[in-house]
Amino acid sequence: MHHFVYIFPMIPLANFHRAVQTTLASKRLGTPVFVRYQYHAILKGAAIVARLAKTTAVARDWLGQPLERVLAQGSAARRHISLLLEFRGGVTAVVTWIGTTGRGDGVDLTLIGNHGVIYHDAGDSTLWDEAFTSDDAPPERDLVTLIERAIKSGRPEPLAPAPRQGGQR
Amino acid sequence: MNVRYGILCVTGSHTHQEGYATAFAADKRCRLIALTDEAKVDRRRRDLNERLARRLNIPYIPDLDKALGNKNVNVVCSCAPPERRGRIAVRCAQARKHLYLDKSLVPQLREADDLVAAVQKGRVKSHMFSFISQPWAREAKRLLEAKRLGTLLAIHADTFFSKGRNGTAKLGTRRREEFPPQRHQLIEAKREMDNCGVYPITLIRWLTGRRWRTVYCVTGNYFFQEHQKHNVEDFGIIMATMDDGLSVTIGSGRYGWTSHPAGGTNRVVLVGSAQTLVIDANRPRLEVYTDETPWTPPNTHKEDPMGFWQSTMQEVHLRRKPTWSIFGGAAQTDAAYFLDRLDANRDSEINVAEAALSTEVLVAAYRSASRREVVTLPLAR
Repeated sequence: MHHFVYIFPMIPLANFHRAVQTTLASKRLGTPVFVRYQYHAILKGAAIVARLAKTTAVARDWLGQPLERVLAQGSAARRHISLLLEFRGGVTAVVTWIGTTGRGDGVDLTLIGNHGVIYHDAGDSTLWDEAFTSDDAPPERDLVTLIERAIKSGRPEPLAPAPRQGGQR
Repeated sequence: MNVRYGILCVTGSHTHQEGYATAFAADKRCRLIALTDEAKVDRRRRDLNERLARRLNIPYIPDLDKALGNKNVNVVCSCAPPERRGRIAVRCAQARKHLYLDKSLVPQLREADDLVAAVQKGRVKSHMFSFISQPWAREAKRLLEAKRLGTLLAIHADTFFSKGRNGTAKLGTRRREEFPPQRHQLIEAKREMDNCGVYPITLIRWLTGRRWRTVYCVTGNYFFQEHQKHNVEDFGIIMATMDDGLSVTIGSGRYGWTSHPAGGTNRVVLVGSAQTLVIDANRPRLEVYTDETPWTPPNTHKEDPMGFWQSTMQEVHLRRKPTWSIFGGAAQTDAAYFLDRLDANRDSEINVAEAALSTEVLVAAYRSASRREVVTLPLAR
């Protein structure tokens, strides 16, 4: 158990994501099957779910499978929200936002493929979430809606809710 | 130092008894009395039992009940296979022997309840193997109890074992979990969410003292054809809650020899309102790079392709991974921890009642994975 303090130049988060994508494209990991993505960020209001949605989209693109279900825990008030994401074919991800003091703005990442793993420790770089706060990069509306629904229900929520059986018995 | 404890070992080679018995034998408070098992074990198991008894230079008694009749036995160290370990432990508790038990405790809830009752009735002390005697775990508990983190909001834990030749599972289909799970341990594969996940589940309960309230789980077959062939998972994700809404996520599984610079990920993140604490069993460390021949996985042992056991790995000349050199505090053996508790006439912090709580979480996790729904604890009896 240890705290580390490193001083690094600020790196746009997009560069980090691109580096991961480039590594995946090299096929060295084989087929990606699991992502644990955890970040500290002081966020408020709609920005919390917006960033969760964008991070979910990043994990989805790394895994290369459509999202099927989400289970959420936590709330903005508790300054902590975790999403368990289930994708087609059974691959999974856990995305966690922590809104309290952490080890800077880094990202803890474990991306596991069937032939290898990418690790990134939050202390290994200081990431600047330029791309995630830019007005021209809004989150996907469907993902925002899904995550909001999952946070509210506390149950596993499918990407598309089952149609209501109105009026039929 | 006087020998105070006679140790009876249940089961032999190709179990964790290879390590546990060695740890007891190395402690001057102990004397290994014999190795035993149930009378009707198959020929393979009997041969493996006799093999370890020979290595330990102790007699093999092929009848558990007869061995338990030895008045020099104070402690039973049992590594029976999951499907047999419950009834064996109950029998030992009835014989008024203290219990040192392999993890996880038992596969079924009823077996856990029976064992807790037998230990209570027999008034014996008990312990399940765990991480709690590790210095990093002790330090985390100290910091938590000192309220250094503020209000605890969440815990995220990963325990992944870096063993086995990965990349052989057929991907593309979601695993359909069975409930109740039928087999936990085979020659080629174990249920890895149980096998690896029991560590963080037990550790988190021990760290927080809180009760588990809900469990949601997804199991997978991501890496090994051996696990897939036997319909046991090699990976599992748990999302759970404890008292006061404490949020927990746990990743556990076996992900291959070359997926980690050391033995595998073993990391817990404790998120507090004031501070976040990262416990990493692989820190602090030196990273050492030399012109030595790079580490390569051992040849596959046909009797142990996943690298479960010490003896098989010695037979295929497994080398230690040399790049990371961990230099945290010296760890006490788990066996020495239990002996210290016996010396102090105190029960283990992970006695069977505590270990049974982990069993309940694992049972709930398999039920959740099977039904794809959140399961509420405690489970109905």
